[in-house]
Formats: sequence, structure tokens, C-alpha cells
Amino acid sequence: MSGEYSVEAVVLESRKLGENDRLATLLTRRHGKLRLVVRGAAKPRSKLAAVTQPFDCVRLDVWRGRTLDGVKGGEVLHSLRRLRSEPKALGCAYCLAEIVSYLGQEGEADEPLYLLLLTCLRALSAGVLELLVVVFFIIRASRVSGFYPVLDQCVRCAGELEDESYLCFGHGGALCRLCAGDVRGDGASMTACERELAGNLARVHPRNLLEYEEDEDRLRSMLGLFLNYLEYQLERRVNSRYFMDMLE
Amino acid sequence: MPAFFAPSMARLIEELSKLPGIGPKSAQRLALHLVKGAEEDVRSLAEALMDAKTTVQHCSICSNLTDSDPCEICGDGSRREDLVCVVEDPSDVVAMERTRDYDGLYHVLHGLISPMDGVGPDELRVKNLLDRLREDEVQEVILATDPTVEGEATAMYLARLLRPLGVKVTRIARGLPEGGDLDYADEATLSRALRGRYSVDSG
Repeated sequence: MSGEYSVEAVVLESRKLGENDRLATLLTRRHGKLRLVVRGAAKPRSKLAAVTQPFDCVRLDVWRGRTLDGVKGGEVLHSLRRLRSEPKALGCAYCLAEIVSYLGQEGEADEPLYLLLLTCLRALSAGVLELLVVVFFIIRASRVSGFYPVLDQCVRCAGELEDESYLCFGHGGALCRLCAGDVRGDGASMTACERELAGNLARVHPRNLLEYEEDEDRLRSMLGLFLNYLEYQLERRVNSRYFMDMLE
Repeated sequence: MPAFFAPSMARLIEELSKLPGIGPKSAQRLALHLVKGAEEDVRSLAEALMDAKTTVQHCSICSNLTDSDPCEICGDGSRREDLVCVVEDPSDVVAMERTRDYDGLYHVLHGLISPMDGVGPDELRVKNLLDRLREDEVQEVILATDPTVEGEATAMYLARLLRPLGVKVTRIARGLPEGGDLDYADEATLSRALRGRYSVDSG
């Protein structure tokens, strides 16, 4: 790439940079995570601010800079404006964007992650149950990124799992009662129902999420479990998890 | 970079480059300007910095930065005490005052809710606002946070929090800039302006 280039991307965040500029972090379809300077975005007449609003899917023309590239112009391909006016959906969108900002690598294309993020943001915007979307996203993102836990058999002895099992974060999967006996460390108990739900969400087609019916309490417990698992694998905290309920 | 400078000069450059919007190059330029300048000017600057640091405090009512408590605005008896405008930081108070159209009081949050940075209401001056609304006779709260996602999230959170207190909660309007050309407006702003249209009869 030389001179100028175009990217299709989802805006993950946009933060202040100096007096008038902003720094936008995006997950692009072809170039992985990308940070771009948006010159003059803080000024009321800036057209660039509108094409770098978080959670929108955009196509941007980019100029090449010495340290950071910058936005020259662009258009909004899918505006998910509704997300920004629905508190609960907004809290969940933040959570998704933060997870993606940790999973995405600069300069490494990750189209499956890009499509997953876009699908989930659209689902949130379309009014699909927020908890369901976030759990679905975390499970699918774990799979796309290669650390989806082994849940169909004991990850240690390959034996059959009973109703109660132990999701061991360090082992990257569920342990049977026997194997879990002498294991210490991060993890949590996981029932057969929860393992089944995770398996179903790992397979379900996103378009069927709208008709998917699931108990909210179970989803909430799954969300906590899988967020803890994800934080362990990423070795960092997902700050926005604490805001999902607050913005509700 | 500062390795080519005398240690005291390098330290000055390093300290200046910690300021917002000042990169290493600007810090170097400022440092060179300061050491080349008259000693009296540098002393005056140093005194102004220390003076501001020791005397500026938060107003106990609105949390704006002030030399005296309460601040000039909160202590001004001619202003409407039933109207409070909530803004992100002190520079927004200056911007609002420049309009000469607002005669109510302010409340400065000193930040916005930023979930990805872990900045929540506890890190902002939200509790002071609630205490103030419970004690004072405020009729309307204007949420004048930035029209960004963080600004909207903060406004939504505050609106939900203030509703049970029985005060009228309003949000500043969004749309086209004064003197702007419709041709050059972006889609999001134009769409906002359309949704916020008003009847010309009512002005």
C-alpha cells in the first residue's frame, strides 16, 4: 500500500487527540485493527467526525502518514445509530468493541472476527435480546480466535462429562469430577445445560438469533462465566463488562 | 532525543512534553524559547504556574475550577437558580458563557462515562449533582455533554438517574452549524437536524 488507500471497517472507539483531532480505532475487513488520525474531528463543521462514530460500519479513504495514517474522507455503509440511543444495547456494544480491540491484531486481516462483530452489532441494533448477543459473540469470538473451550468431553482424560463439570480456564475446557478433584486455580462449575447452551450458540446461524429463546438468568450466568474465561485467556480485564447493567 | 541537550534542558523538555497536545518537537521549541527569553518572563511564568496550582480549587457547588468558593457564577445572585446546565469540563462553561444566552447555573462533571477505559459515574462528579438537586430548588437540568458516544452514554445515564427526582431533564439540540451549507453537511448531522425540526410558527 502506498499513498492513499481505502478500508471497510467497523469503528471500535474514537478518543480525543490534541485540541481538535481524534484517534479512531477500527477493525478493518482486510487489514486487521487500524488506528487512524481524524484531523479536525472535534470541530462542529467536521465531516470526518460523522464517518468515524463508534459502532458504525464505514468505508474510509486513508492517507498514509509517517507514524499514523489518517482519514481523508469516507461514507457510512451501515449506521447503527439506534445503538447509541438504547442504553442497554450501547453498554453491550461497548463490551463487544473492547473485546475486539484486544483480539484484533494490527496489520493482520481477520475477516471472520470482522463479520462476527458486524453481525452482532446489527443484531443489537435490531433489538435482539442483548444478553443473548453478547454471550453468542463471546462464544463465537473464542472459536474464531482459537481458544474455545473443550466442552464435549473431559479436557484432561477425554472421559464422558456428567451433569456437573468444572470449566478449568488453565486447561481450556471442562473437567470431569474425578479430574477436577486435584485441580486448583481459575475456573467455575458448569452444568450440562450450560455446556449444551454453549454448544448450541457455537453452531446457531446468526439469523436465527431473533427467534432464539433462552432463560435470561441462565444467559446472565453464562455471560459471567465466559467473560471470566475470556479475561483469563486475554490476560486482561474487560472494563466495559461492568457498564452493561449500569447503562440499562 | 534529550540526550543531546544539557541535563537541565533535557529535563525541561521532558516535563513540557507531558503537557496535553505537546509533542517532543514542540516541547523542544518551547524549552529553547524559555531559556533564550528574559529571566523576568520565565520567573513570571513559573510564579503564575505555582499561583494557579495553589489557589485554583473546585467550587463546592458546581465543581467548576475557581479561585474563590463558591465560584463567581454560583455566587451571582442575578442568575436563575432553578436551571442547571451539566457539562463535561470547565472549558465547556466558557463556551456556554460565550453565547451570552444562558443565565442559569452549571455543574461540571470533569469527564464522561467511558466504559472501555473503566471510567464510571464514581469517577465523575455525579454524586455532588444529585446532592445538589435534592437540596436546591432546581426545576430543569440541561444535559450539555458532547454529541459523541461517551457524551450520549453519560447523558442517558444521568437522565435515568435524575428522572425519579422530579426535575425536568432536557438535552441540548443537535443539527446544522450556524451559517453552514446544507450541501456540505454529513448524513448523520443532516438526519439529526431533520428529526429535530421545529414548526416555524412556534419559532
